[in-house]
Amino acid sequence: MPDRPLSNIRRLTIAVAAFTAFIVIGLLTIGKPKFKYKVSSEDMLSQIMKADYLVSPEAAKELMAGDNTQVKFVDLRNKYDFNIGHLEGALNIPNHTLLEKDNLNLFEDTSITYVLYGQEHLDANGPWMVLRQLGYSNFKVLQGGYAAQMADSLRITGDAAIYDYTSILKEAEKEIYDLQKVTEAPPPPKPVKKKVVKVVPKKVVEEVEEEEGC
Amino acid sequence: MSKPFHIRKRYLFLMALAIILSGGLIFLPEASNTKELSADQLLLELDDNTRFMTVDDVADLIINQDPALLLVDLRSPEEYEQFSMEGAVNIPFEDILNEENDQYLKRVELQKVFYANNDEISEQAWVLLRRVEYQNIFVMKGGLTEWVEMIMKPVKPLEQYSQTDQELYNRRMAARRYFAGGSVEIQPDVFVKKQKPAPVAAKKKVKVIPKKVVEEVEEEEGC
Repeated sequence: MPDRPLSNIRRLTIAVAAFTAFIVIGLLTIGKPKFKYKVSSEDMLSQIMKADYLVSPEAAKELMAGDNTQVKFVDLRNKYDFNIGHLEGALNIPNHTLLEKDNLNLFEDTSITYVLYGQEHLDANGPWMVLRQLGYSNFKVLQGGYAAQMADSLRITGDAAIYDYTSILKEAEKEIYDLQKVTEAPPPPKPVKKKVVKVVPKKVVEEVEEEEGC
Repeated sequence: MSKPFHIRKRYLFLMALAIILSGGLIFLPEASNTKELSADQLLLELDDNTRFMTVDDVADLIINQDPALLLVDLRSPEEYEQFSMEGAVNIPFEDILNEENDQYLKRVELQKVFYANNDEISEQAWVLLRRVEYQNIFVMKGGLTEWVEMIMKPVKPLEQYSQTDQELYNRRMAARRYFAGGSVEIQPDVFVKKQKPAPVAAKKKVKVIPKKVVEEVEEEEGC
């Protein structure tokens, strides 16, 4: 009788020890992520829907003309492109170096608004989303990127439709229907056409030559 | 009698320890239940352009009826109803994170290609979903605007342009024919040159010519 409760306790001891080891190992192997997202995906989505993160090319020009120390442009392109030409007063922080410590320290200063731009609009969009989700809220995106700043005529439409797809499709359908009507007017069986086509022209030529000889 | 009491004490101690430790479990899943791509990894992927599909790539996949292609239309349901690409499903951008869409988006074997009027929201959907590690997702570069300009209204390259430009134009014209309801079997060469009605026309002539030849021969004989 005294043996049984003892063995029960031994079993419990082993179980608790294993449990402890499991939890300790678990906690140790989690490893803290280097960067922690502070904005949930859902919040990020509603941020995007607000669309207040965009700086239009015109607004950017005004910002550059005025001596605004609260706004800084950040050029995400590589050094080479940056040296060829960049917006006045822009910092050069190539895309892949954005999350380096020095840069993140720089971004801590929330009194300054950073306007990101790359060559094209999309080049700054992703980095902006990454930074925004990490909790940096003092960032904006230059609409159209560097290309739009250089070329005034570049169209910027957001996601509004430029074309009427249905009418374009109908146009093409009509054109192709007309074309097919011409080509398919008498639909002859396909196997026949090949044989005939190859043979006949030769005959015609031969006959004509013979006739000329006459 | 002292032994059972001692045993009971140990028993209670171990029980308490187990309960406390189980409390630790609460913290374990919190840190790891959401599988997320780390921010630096996400930024690295953004530097890589393999997520983009050109409209030509997409047209090829549609025409070849690639079974792994799933086009995802991110525009509003109204826009989707008016016009959508062949076989596309409609997931409005604001609903992109809804779990009900996982039936499409979580299917790893499918290449999910996002498109909208432009490519901005497709890219944003891509970033949002990549963060929570959705696989095999792509962005149609330029969106439907580019689709219209490249496929539905291709600009004929000048004659001095390279062969590849000419071939690309031919392929686009063939794709255009396909999307406008032309025959499914695409023979770019047949379609592109407008003289190609010739083979058919030749057939017509073929039947006619023998008669003509006979007539001509008769005339010449008269001479």
